[in-house]
Formats: sequence, C-alpha cells, structure tokens
Amino acid sequence: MIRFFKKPADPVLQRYMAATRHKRPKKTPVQEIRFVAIDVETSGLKLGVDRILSIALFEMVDGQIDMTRSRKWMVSQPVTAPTAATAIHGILPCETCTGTPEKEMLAELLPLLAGAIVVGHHILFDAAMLNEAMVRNFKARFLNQVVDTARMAMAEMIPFHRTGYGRQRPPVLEEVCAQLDLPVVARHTAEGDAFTTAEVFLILLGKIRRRLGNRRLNRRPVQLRDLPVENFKPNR
Amino acid sequence: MPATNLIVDRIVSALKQFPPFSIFEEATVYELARAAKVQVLTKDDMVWTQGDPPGEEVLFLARGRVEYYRQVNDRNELIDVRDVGDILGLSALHEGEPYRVTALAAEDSILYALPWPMIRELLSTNDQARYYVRRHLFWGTRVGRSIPDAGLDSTGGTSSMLEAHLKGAHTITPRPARRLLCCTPETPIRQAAEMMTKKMVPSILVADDRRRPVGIVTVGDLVKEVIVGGGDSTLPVSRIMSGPVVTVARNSSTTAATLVMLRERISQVCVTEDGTADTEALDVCTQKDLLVQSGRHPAGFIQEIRLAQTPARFREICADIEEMARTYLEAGISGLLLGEICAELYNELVRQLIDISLAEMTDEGTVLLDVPWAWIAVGSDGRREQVLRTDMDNALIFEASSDPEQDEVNRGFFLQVASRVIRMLVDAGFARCQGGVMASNPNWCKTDAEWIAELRDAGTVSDGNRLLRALILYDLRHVSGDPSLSEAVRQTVFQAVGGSAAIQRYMAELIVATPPPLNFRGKFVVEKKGGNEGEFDIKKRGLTPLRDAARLFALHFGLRKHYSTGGRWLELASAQPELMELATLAREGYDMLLRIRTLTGLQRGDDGRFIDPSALTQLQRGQMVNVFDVQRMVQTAIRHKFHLETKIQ
Repeated sequence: MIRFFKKPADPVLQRYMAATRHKRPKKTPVQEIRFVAIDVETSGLKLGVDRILSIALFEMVDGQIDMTRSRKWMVSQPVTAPTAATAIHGILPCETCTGTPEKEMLAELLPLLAGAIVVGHHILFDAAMLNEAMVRNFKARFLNQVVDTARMAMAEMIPFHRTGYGRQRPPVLEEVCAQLDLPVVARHTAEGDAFTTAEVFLILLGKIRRRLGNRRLNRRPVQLRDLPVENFKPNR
Repeated sequence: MPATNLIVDRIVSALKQFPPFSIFEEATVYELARAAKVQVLTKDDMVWTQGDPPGEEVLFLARGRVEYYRQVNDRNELIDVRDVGDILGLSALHEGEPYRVTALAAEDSILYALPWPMIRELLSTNDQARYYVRRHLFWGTRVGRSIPDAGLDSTGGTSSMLEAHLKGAHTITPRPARRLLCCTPETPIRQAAEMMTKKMVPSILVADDRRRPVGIVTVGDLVKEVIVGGGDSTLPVSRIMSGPVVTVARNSSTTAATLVMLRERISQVCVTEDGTADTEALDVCTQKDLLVQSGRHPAGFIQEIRLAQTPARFREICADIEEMARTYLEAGISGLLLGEICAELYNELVRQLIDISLAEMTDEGTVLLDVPWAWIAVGSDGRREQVLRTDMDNALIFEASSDPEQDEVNRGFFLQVASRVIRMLVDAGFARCQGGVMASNPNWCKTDAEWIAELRDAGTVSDGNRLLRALILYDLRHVSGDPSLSEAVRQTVFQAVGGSAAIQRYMAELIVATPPPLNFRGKFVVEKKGGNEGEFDIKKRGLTPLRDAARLFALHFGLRKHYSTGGRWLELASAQPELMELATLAREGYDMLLRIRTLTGLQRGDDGRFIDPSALTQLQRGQMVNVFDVQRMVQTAIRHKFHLETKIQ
C-alpha cells in the first residue's frame, strides 16, 4: 500500500507480473493461449509447513508438447527428516540438498510461467505451494490463471460427471488415465505427472473441440470460456 | 537439468522398439527424443489433409491408430492403416511433395513429431536404415506408385550380388597348353586368320620364341585392318596386332579377371605364369570361358551338369544350386527370376539324365524305340517356380501309333526310361511328387492322342480330382525330346480351356474361394487347426490365388508366350491395357511371396509353405499386407470378368 517504501521489484518478477496480471477476454481462441502443465512434489500436504521438493513444466504449443521447452528442477530445502510424503515420491533428503535453491528455481520458472495459463491436476494445491514460495522469496503472489484437469475431466468425461452424492470427489490422475486408456508414466515424479497431465489436458481439449465441432448450430472453435479457468486466490 | 529425463527415456524406449530407430545408435535416438514434440489427437482429428504440403516433421505413432484416406472422384477410400510403431509422413517429406492422402486419427492417438532435417541427416549416413525407409515407401502402391526395387532390400542378408558371386568364385584354371593358339610376329596375317578359323576361336596370341605374349590379333582387328582398311593379308601379324597384352596370373579369381576385361574394354585376357607379360603364356580366356568357370554363376552350373555322370556328383551340383539360390535371394534377386534360372539348370539336368538313361539301356541291350517323345514339366515345374528340390512334376508324351497294343508296348518302354530318370533325380536329392505327378506313373505317361482326348473331355469340370489334374497339366512346358509333341498338347490346352466358359468359370470360382488372409484390422489370419497352428500357409492363402488367376487370364486371353506366373502377368499387362496396373502389382506381389517362401524353405529345409508371421519383420509384414490387398483386387477383377456373383465378405 505504501509503495514508496517498497524496494523496487526484481526485474524477473516485474516482467512476470506485467505479462500475467491482465485477464484475457473469455472468447480468446485457445490456439492463441500458451498453456504450461506443471506438477510439484512436496514434503507434505500442509500449506505453510511443507515445501516444494521438485517441480516440472511442459509447455504446449499448437496442441503439441514441446520436449525442447520442458524443464524440471530439484529444489533444495532446509528439510532434513524424511516425511510421509517421501514414501510417495521417493525424493530423499540427500537429493533435496543437491538441488537448486528455491529462489533460483523461481527465477528460472517465472519467465516460463509469464503470460501462460497453468494446467495441472488438482492445480490449486500446486499453485498454493508455488504462491507460498513466491511470497517467501519475492514477496509476490502467484498470478496465473489455472486450469484443473480434474475439473475438466468431471465436465468432459461421463464417468466423472457430477452425481450429487455428497462424498463425490474429483478424480485422481490414475482414474482419468484409466478412463482415457493412457499409460501412467513415472507416477509421483514431477515430470511424469506433469507430462501425463499435459497429455490428459490435450485429450480433453480434443473432446471439447469435437463436442463444439459436432454442434448443428453455433459450431465454433474452442475458446477460453469452454475451459474451467480459475483465478488462483490464496485462501488465507 | 534442462531435459526431463524420465519422459525422454520413455520416448526413446518407445522409438527403440521399431525400425529405423532400432538401427540407430542409442545416443542419436536420445537426441531425436529430446527434440521431439508430443502430439495428442482425439478420435477423428485430422493429422493432415490430402494435398497439404509436408511440414518439417516426421510423425511416429506411439499410441492409437491412424487411417489414411484417399479422395478419388469425390469418394473417400480407406487406403491404409497405421499402427503403433509406424512412421507417418515420411513419403511426402522424402519426395518433397504434398501429402497424397488424408490422415485421420481412428482412435485417441499419441504421436511423436521428430524433426525431419535430423532424420534425413541420419538416413543419409546409415545405409541399413535408408534401405528400410525405402522399403517403407512400399505402401505407396495404393496411391499409384510402383513397388520399390527389391534389390535394395536388406532382409537379413547384407551380401550384394557381387558378393554372392564371389563366395563361390573359382580361380582360373588354364586349359592344356597345346590348346592355346599362338603364332610368331612374323606369321602372315592370312595364315593367322586361317588358324583361327580352323580352331574356331575369336583371337590368336602373338608370342615370341619363349611363348611370352607380345600381342594379340582378334577377329575385330582383322575386320578393321584387312577387310575394312584394305590391308595386305600377306604382311606379318605384328603390323596389326594389339599390344601390350593384358595379362592375369594363373591363380587369380575369375571375377577379378572379368573386372580387368571390363576395365580395359577387351574381350579376352591372357593368362601367364606370374601375371606379367614376361613369363610364358598359358591360356587366353574369353568372357564366355570365364563365365563357365565362375563358380556360382548359372553358366558354370550348366557346364558342370554336362560334365557330370554319377548320381553323387549330380547331388553335389544340386546342393550347390540351392546354395546359389540362397545367396542370390539374400542379395535381393527376384524370386521369379531365380525360378527361371533354376528351371534352366534343372532342364539341363533332366536332359543329361535322359541321355544317361538311354545310354545305359543301350548298354544293357535294350533296343531303343524309334518313337518321337517329349519330356514335359508340369505344375510348378512347368511354371519355372521350383527352386528347391522339394517336389518334381513331370510327364511324358510319346507319339501314338495306330495300334493300341503297340502303344502299350511303347508305354512300357517309356515308363522304363522315365523310372530310371526319376530314380536318378531322387538320388540327386529331389523329393518324389506326393501326388504321383511323375513321368514314371502310367497316368502321366501317355500318347499325344490320349493327352489331347483327355484335355478335350468336357467332363473335367464335374470332377474335382480331374480338374486338379487338369490344372497341373495346363502349366506344361517342354523340356526335352520332340518339341512338336508338347506344342500340340499345349495348343490343345489353350483351345480346350479358351473355348470352354464352364471350365473358366470353375477356375474363377476356385480363385475367389480363398479370401485374403487379413482380418478386419489388417492382421494376418493364421492356421487355427492342424499341426501348423499359429503359422501362416503362404502357399494356399497367398501364392495360389495369384498364380491361378494368372493362369486363368493367360488361358482366357490366349497368352501363350510365357510359362511362368510372372511372365503371364507381364504378358497380360501388355496385352490388356485395362488390367495393366493390376497385373504389374500382382506380379510384384507374387514375386515377393515367392521370395519369402523360398527363403523360409531354405532356412527350414522344407518347401517353405508355412511361415511364422511373428518371425517376419514389421516391414515384411507390411509388405505382405499390401500383397494381400493386391490379391483382393485380383479377385474382384476375376469376379467381374467371369461374372461371379459378388459375395459379401
């Protein structure tokens, strides 16, 4: 609020904020949007306590996952003891300490996220984790619009449609893959999950495209409003 | 860590399962995978449209199925299906032309787009992969391209035609020195020419007093200098001889000598003791001499067969012929061509055996009958397709006398001759014909009148066994004896079948009775019962329909120039322009099946009838699927031509 007393922001951050702050019109065709699929592996599920251990990113251009523009990072964290999550992703503390420091990772990640819509499975958790890291390191918030493939699957795939049962929960990645007949690669590694998420996203995008293309009237290309785009809001 | 190793690993392992990537080194495949783009297509998505220019990427189908449609006259025809492991878009990029088909995802599919410049670079440096890729363009037949040259194949063998020759190549063996025609430099031209005429050789060696070659006078020199140039024939030969003489050593290989002659553009080469002109001349070899001496050259076998006398020797020669067949096939020679080569050799063998049999009988005191006869090959032998010694099909025709009793006496004699020949053939390693189609069988040893009567009999159609016998006989080919007898019978075949719609219709029904052995997903149908389950009967399901169709067309249109299936298709292509495309494709397809069959037979030591589809490479399988497509086309053509009702398959 009192801007005069703030240090000028990091140039990386400035560029990120400039590119990401504006919201796109709802009728933007999806071909004009840059999507990146991400997945983070963390030391646990508690926000504010647990930290990012590794993160992977796949960029999608023109409906293709471009392997030359994919990245992954192991993040070094001052966590020592193995947690319950270690059993899931298998990232040992000794690997953690050889990784990139969190701030460096973010400095490399943010230019890639700038202006993109971030895709992930249960993306709000990943976004919250990233948000925390950004707050910690840059005193800035995560600004990207996000698309959750779990929500997309619920909208586009009949087995996951909303039923009205109170205990229904969004499908996990394995369930979606099983329905789409996709092989699950390297589950519970950042890159494996991010890649699978990217594949799932593209398939679901194809389903939406076909649904809209099949309409007798109002046949039109896929637009931003056809995706369950959310604005990330930290709920604290 | 810029690259995401796990995913790259996964792409690599997917690529590595299939050629040409399996041929590349692992590091190169990694490079490709790192530059890859992953495309995800949902059902009915277009990969590209017919007429689009090719992009910069080759697509590898990692999951799902893509169908190729070709738009012909406002109709979309399904042309081909691409399965996991196939490469898409290669032909268009390779030829640098727009896509000839529309590619449509038939299921949700995942494709890896790989940069074409990198692949092109790799292909240009990797021969084996390039050969694979050229063969891969095979499917282009369906969009109006011809099947690529079979000679580029690398199915297992890496040997070239030349190597095939070299493996069996002999060294030059000079003939006795007295046979060498030579004269001194002072000999008058006319005298030298007389010596050449007398010995019937195309050249004379001019040597000094120690028989060292100084020059050579050929027929060409005589024509040029004396007849055309008007030179004086009393002058010494030294005026017109060519020199210095090109020489080779006595132990050099015949192939090397042939190459020397090619290089020097000469038609004979002088053999000397140490390969220079400073030692004694031993022999002068012409190309023909070298040809018969070069071991695995067919011409060499003819010579060997003519010289051989004992069963053991014949067996040895036949084993060598099969060995030659194997090296030729591995070097990529056409199966049809090989069949023709082998037919010539086995003809020579039979002629030699008949001569030997007749000579033996004379020695034993049997009086040879003065009745014209002809030894004919029928069935696969008649079509020149018998490369392996797994079967023999032959028959005998002798001239009818007016007296039936005399005919029986004559038959007795010819049966005796035939059984001697057959026995020797068996000794040489040929298997007896399972169906008894042998000249030593009274059923297959008949007078010309009997043969003609049998062929003219209209009852043939009604009886399955007799039709089978007739089909075998329709492929008759003269081997030895009096050609006019076999020609008369062959004429009758064309008249009898060409004039009978009933027989043609019956033959046509047999052809369409075997549907192409593909299921609806384009996979092989394999034998489900019997001792060969899981294997594929290439003879019954692949070769037979194409072969029978060729025979039917030949008989229907009266195409009598050729005997072999390949020849018949060729003749059909030139005689019936509207069937040209079909005939050309059928010939190529038949050729390929024949090669696979013969190679399998050589590997397994049987007739190669059953092949194991899982042992075929992805490529061969693809080719065979193409051939069966052609088979379907042939069957449709037969249905139209012979007015068979169309069955829904």
